[in-house]
Amino acid sequence: MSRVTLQGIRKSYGAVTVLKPIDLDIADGEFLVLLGPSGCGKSTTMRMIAGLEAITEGKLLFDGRDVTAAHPRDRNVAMVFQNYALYPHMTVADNIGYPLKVAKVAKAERQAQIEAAAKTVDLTPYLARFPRDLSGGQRQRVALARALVRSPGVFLLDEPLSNLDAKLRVAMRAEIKHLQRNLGVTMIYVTHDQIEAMTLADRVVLLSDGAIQQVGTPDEIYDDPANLFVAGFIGSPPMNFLAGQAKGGRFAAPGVDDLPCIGAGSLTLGFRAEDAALAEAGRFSGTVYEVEPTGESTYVVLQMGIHRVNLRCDKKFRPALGATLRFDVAGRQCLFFDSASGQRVR
Amino acid sequence: MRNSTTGWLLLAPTLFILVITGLLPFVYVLSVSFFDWNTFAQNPDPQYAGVNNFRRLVFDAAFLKSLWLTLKFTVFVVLSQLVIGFFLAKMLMRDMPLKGLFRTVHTLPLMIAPIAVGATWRLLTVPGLGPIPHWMKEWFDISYILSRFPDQAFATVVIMDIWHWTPLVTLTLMAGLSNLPEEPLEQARIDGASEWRIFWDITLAFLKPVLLTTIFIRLMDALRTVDEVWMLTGGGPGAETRFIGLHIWRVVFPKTDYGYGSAMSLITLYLTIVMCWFLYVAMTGMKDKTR
Repeated sequence: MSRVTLQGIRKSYGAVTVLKPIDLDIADGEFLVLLGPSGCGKSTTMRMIAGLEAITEGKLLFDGRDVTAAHPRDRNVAMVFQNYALYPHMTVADNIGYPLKVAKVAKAERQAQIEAAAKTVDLTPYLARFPRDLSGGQRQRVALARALVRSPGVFLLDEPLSNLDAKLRVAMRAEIKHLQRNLGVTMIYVTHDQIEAMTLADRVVLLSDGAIQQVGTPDEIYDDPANLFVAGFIGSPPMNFLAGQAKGGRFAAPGVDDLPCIGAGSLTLGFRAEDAALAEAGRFSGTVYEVEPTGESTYVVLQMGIHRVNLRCDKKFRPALGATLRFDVAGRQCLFFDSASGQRVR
Repeated sequence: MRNSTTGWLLLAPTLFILVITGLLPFVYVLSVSFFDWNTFAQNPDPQYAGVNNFRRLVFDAAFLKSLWLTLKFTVFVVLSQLVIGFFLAKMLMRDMPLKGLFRTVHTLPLMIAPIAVGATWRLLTVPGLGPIPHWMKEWFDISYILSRFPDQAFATVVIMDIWHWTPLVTLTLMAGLSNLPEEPLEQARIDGASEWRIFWDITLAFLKPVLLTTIFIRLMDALRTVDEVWMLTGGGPGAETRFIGLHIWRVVFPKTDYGYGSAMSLITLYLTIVMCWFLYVAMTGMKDKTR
């Protein structure tokens, strides 16, 4: 178990900076998720923590110990790769036991630890098989067991579920969370799937363009986004945005009447589909563009000027296309962003 | 039924050529090997001799010596080529200036006909003319005369073959190395394995198919080397570099001992097959053990 500290860590390839200096303090036993679209630098960050990628600048500390230039094997980290990275010529048992074998653990001791790790992830009946004889989910569990067997200080998981089918992904997600909680290890998890991030994380680090956009608990990220990127990235459907002008404490945009606001100039109003409520006297109005029933509720897409917004309505609600609907959003659920910089106006 | 007829018809030209160029000569050589047939003998007609030719082989010191030399030569060149080829492949895969030029230049020997390679090396090594004897004398005070010293002749033949064929090994290993999956190697680094361990446990396992193919090709080529050596040393001094191919040639052509030569060819073929089979079993068995 380790506390991981990133101090001004930066990565560049020649003149190209792929990761701007980031500072991060990951507590012992924390489940931290690095979230972001592809190419945002999340995998690079993880690979630098693992020691697979050299750190261009900055310091990396494990429990206060400087490991910036340490070899991967001297960091006591375990990693699970997206494609599992199993050794195809070794049995499941040999795969799991490989870290122990290179650490010269005695055979009997090794066997016991392999069996213990296999039991944790329900692989006991498959120990003699080869990776090619296993399903995707089983391979994933082998990779997990191989990471477990070393009792590492830090667990690194690089998009571990992205090769699994949707159903299995949900099941494995719960297993990983359960495992982390039981073992109490520090886990750093990279994903581009915001649902995965929200469900798993103690804290989410949202990255974009090689820079941290926001760090916070899933609730903070969801309810209190720091900028337009975060607001638009988190949530399904994404947050609704309406660009307009603010003057004298009032926000004006097509379909919006008399909405109090903070700030002035070009602002973007953001609100979530579930925070909008249909109301005869609502301050927002738009025409029905499309109706999308999902079973548990119905999403109504409204055209408001050049924007389209999603409203979550009752599952039985079926408005006519083209009809005008009025709705309202509570004041504290209306978030304003500076249209130019994208930053939240508070 | 119609389908299978069409299939056979389509295969027929290939099968025909294979039968003409492969099976018929083999059967012919097989049958000749049971005859005593020497056009210079008192009775130049083939006479049935049973397995006499094969019996003769077992006690033929010249043949056995030639076989031994061939094996020694093969082991030397194939092992050296694998090791040198691997390091060259590693080097040529690095990012460096003029990489393309180095890669091209290093494959040039492959494009030269063996007979021309032999001729070139002969020019290099002829005493009084070639630069090698001159500088060997000048720098190391060694009299380098291929036609006099068997060890020198053998070593030169080995070096010539390494020079000629290492690029092939480099090329195939480069193909194998560039297809190595990245993740298992990184995983092994994180698992705490040293670079040597990773090479031994992981890289070799991934390279095995390429290695096996390369070794087979080089092994079979080395076992039947004729023209380069014939051009460079003529099998000499004495019979010190007379490898099996050369030996068979001498028996069949200048001596016209067709039956005996056929038997030799068959035994050589048999030994080659057995060696390859052993190698295959050894290498795939190695895999089974790690299973």
